[in-house]
Amino acid sequence: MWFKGFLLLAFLHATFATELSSVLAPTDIKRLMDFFKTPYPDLETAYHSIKVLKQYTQGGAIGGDIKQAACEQIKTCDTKSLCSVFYAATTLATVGTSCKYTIPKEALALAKSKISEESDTKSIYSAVTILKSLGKQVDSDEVIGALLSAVKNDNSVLSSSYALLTAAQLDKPNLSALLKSIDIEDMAAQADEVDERYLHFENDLQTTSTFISAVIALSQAQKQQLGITPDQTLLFTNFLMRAKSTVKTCKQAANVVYPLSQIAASSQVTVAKAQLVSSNAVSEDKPNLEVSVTNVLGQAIPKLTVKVDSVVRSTDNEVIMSNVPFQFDAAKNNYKLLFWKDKPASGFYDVILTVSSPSKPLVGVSDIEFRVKVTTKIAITNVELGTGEKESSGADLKTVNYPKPAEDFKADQQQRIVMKFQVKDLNAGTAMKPHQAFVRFVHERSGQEVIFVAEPDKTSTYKFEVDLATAGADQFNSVTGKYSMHLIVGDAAISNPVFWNFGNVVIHLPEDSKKAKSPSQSQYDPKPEIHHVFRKAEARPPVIISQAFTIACLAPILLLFVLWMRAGANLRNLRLAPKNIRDRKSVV
Amino acid sequence: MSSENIVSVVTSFFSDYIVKTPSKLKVIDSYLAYILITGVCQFAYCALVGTFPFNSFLAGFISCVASFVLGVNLRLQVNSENSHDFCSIAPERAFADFLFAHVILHLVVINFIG
Repeated sequence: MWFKGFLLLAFLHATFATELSSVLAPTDIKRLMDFFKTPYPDLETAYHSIKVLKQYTQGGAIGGDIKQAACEQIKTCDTKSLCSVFYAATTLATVGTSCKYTIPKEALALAKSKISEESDTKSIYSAVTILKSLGKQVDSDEVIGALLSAVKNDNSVLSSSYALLTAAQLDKPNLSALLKSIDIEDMAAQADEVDERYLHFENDLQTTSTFISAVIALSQAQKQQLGITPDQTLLFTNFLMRAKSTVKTCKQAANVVYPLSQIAASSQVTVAKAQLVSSNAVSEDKPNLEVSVTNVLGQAIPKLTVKVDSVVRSTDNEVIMSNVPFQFDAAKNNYKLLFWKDKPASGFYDVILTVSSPSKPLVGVSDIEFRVKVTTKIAITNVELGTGEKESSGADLKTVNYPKPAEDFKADQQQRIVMKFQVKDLNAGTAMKPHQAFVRFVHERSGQEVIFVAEPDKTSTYKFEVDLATAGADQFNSVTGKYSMHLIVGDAAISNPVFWNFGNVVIHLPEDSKKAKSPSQSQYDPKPEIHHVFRKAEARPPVIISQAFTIACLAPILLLFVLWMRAGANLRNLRLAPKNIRDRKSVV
Repeated sequence: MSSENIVSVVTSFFSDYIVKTPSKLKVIDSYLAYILITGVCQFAYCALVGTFPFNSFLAGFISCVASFVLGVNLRLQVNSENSHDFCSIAPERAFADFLFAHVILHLVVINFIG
């Protein structure tokens, strides 16, 4: 049993892995194509540009100015260098006769001499390509013999890939010996796998890119299936996609765009990415689900079978749709489905899609799952509004026609404000219970807001009641005045949420005796500023009085002198002589 | 009747005082009177207007009271009628004591006056 579960897990994991991480978006293509812009600085750039443009446009015409720019570089060819001749010859073959340049004889002799058992695979590849592009005959058996010995010397992935690229150009070759020594399947198995999402060789863009090019080129030349599995193709593609944003040079850009263009044009496999391009909210105005299925270059792929596997309502797991095909919309280049056809009830739906190709294996689009929300329009119906006396259970209610507001009315602390309403789903025609329904009072002058929650009963009728005797002080803070009343109804599944000013009410409330702020409010108020206070000076008497008493206190000294004179006191006997002073001292 | 008595007593007291009291004691009595009036003036100010520079008031008043006491002491010692009580103290010595006590007293008072 657990073994089965393990298998299932492994399967799920594999499904997850087989998804194309991204495609070349228009911005990516523009950025990459900028590397191939004229004028070309050297022959190598011209070679890469012409090669990529030819493959990218699927053999389409190349502009005259590009040909002109490439031709100028061809004329700078160094006939002693095999590499330079290789660039010139291949570019010349693509540019065509408009470029007046012929490869000199000695260059051809150089190429011919390279097809030998001493050369490496890259030289043999260059030599064969030069000869082929100039329309010369090449002996297939001789080339294969040279390749076999070269691969024996260097059996790296890059070397083997060049051997395969060479073999793909040969006429009616007998490749059994070569394919025995180069096992494509074995090479792909040796590639490094990262997170089950990427496959690459030594994290090297050129090696990986050359390998994919070689495999696809060989498959096309031999009209056989690819040497690697579709899933491996997908993982290699993911690696190229990861490199797309980090390319710095023209050669790196060519290593990304060229194999991707080959993959897009391949007759053996389709690598695609499917995406929901319409909004995931479906309503009467937007009734369609639109899915784009694009190849690695971001181009739409027609003639695929896109089907809804199932559509399940998330609340009760009811399947409302299964096995329904999408139609290809040529105008928008995507697949669409009229989801609104049977007017599904509002809510969330889980959609599972399958994409399949009738002719060739399709990878990159695993089961696509997404959640769609169906929204509906609502109207507020059966609105009644009025006041009731505090003691009695009944209330004096008047009907209000949505969306017109009710007439203004008055209420005081002896009364209750009562409101009833229903929310009608305009598509289903039934009453519904939206997620949120509030009644909001806003004081006209101060802007004070009070919000109450309206609760539905069993019949989906919302009843809302405010007892002003208690709410007046607690929620309204005893603020008397005119309040405007708003009804707020919202839900994720409602496309026209309601914010309706349904009337005004003048509420008269008694003054609150305790106007003090709540402690939570005063807690955040600034503390009073502390000032240093000096002790208040005592009151001084008037200056005149103080002066008068000063004189009064000093005056008796005059009296003293007068009395002394009257008593006959004098200093006549005092003689200021040193002797007398000495005597006085001795007395002391 | 009684007021006439009092007037006659007072006038006879003054005439006796003027005639019999030695001029030395008169000088001291004048001094005491001067001190007394000064003290009364200060106290009147304190009672009527306020105690505001209270330390100054205390210093002045203490100065008056202590000077008065010292003056009375000097008068007792100088008075010839008390000579049998103070036979060991000559009037000059008493005056010297008086001066010395005054120096000490006014050191304190000046300190106190702030």
